[in-house]
Amino acid sequence: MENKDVENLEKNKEAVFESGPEKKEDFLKEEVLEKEIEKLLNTKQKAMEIKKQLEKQQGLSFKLGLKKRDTLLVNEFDSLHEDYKKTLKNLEGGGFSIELIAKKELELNIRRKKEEAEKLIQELGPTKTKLFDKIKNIFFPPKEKVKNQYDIPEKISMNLEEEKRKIIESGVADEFLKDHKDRFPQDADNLKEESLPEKPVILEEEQKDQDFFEEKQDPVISNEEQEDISIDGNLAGRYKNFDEEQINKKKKEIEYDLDVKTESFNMRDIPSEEQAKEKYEKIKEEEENEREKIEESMDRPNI
Amino acid sequence: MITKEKVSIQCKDLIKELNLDHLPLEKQEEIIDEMSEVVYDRIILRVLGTLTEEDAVNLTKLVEEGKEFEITDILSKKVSDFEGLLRRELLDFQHEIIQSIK
Repeated sequence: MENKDVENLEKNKEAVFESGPEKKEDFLKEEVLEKEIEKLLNTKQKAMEIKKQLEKQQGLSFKLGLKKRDTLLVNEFDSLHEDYKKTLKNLEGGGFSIELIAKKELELNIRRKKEEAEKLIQELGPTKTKLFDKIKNIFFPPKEKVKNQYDIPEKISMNLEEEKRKIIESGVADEFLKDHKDRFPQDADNLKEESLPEKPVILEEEQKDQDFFEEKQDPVISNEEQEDISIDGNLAGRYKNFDEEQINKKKKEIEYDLDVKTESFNMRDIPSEEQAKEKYEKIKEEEENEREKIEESMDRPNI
Repeated sequence: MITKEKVSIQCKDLIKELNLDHLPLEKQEEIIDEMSEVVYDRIILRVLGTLTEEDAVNLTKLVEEGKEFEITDILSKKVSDFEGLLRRELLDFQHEIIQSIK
C-alpha cells in the first residue's frame, strides 16, 4: 500500500470516530473483519503452496513406498487447515455472515492483484509507464476525472453569480459607481437595471393564451356545482359543510325568535337608554289602552 | 482496441461464478469495475511487453496527437491474436480469484 493510501485510511478512520459511537463500532468491526480475512488469505496461500509440493510427492515411487512423503509438510498443511477453520468459525461467531466474508475476501484479493499489477507497471521503465497511463486514460477513463471536468466550471460560474448578486444587493457597487460616475457613466445605469427584477414581456397573443389557460385552470363554478363538489368531496369535507349549515340554520332561528320577541322592543334600533325607556313607556301605554278597550267591550251586554 | 465495457461484461460472469450475485447491484458494479481495471492493467502490461522502447516512444507521440485509430492499427499488428490475449488474461484472472477464494 502506498503512503498516500495509508494517510487516507487514517483520515477516514479519524472522521468515522468523530462521527459517533455507532459508526465507530461499525468501523472497528470492519477493521477486525479485514484483519481476520487477511489472516485467512495468508494461511490459504501458504496451504496452497504446501499442497503443490505435496502433489509432487504422489508418484508411483511414493505409492510403492520406495520414497517417503515429507511428514513435516503434511503436518504443516494440517495445522494450517485447522487454523483456517478456527478463524472462519471465530468470524462466524462474531456475527459475520459467510456471504460478507466471501465478499470481503474477494475485495481483498482484487486489492492484492491491483498491487501486483502496480509493481509490474513500475518495473516497466519511464517511457512505457508513461505510455501505459496514456493508453489507460483513453480506453479506461477514471470516473472521478470525467465528473470533475464538468463540475468545476459550473461551480465557479455559480459562485461568481452569487458573489455578483450579493454585491448588487448590498449596494456597495451602487455607491462606488455614484462616486465615480465620471469614470463609469454607462455602468451605473446598467447596474441599476440589473439589480431590478426583470419584467416579463408578454405579447398580445401570449396574453390571450395565458388567459385561456387560466380560465381552463380556474373555471367559474356556480353555487350548485360548488355544493355538488362539496358533496362529492371527501367525508371530512362533507361533514364540515353539514355542520356549518346546521350552525347557520340555528343562528337564523335564534335571530328570528329574537326579532319576533323584541318586535315591539327592538334595542338594536334604539341608540340611547332614555329613548328606549320612552319607547317602552309608550308601548306600555298602548297595551293598557288596548286592554281597557277589550275590558270595556267585554263589559257590554250582549244584544 | 478493447474497451472498458468489453472487459466488464466478462467480469460479470465471475460474480455469478463466485455466487456473489446476491449482492446489491451497486456493490456488484463496484466489484466489476475494480476487477475489470485489474484485468485491463494486465492486458496493457502484456501488450507493452511485446513493444520495444522505440515503439513505446512512437506510440506515446501518437497518443499525444490523439491518433487513436493509428494506435489501434499498430497494436493489432504487434499483437496478432488480440482477442485471444484478452480471453487468456480473463481466464487467468478468473482462475486465480476462484482458487484463492474457494
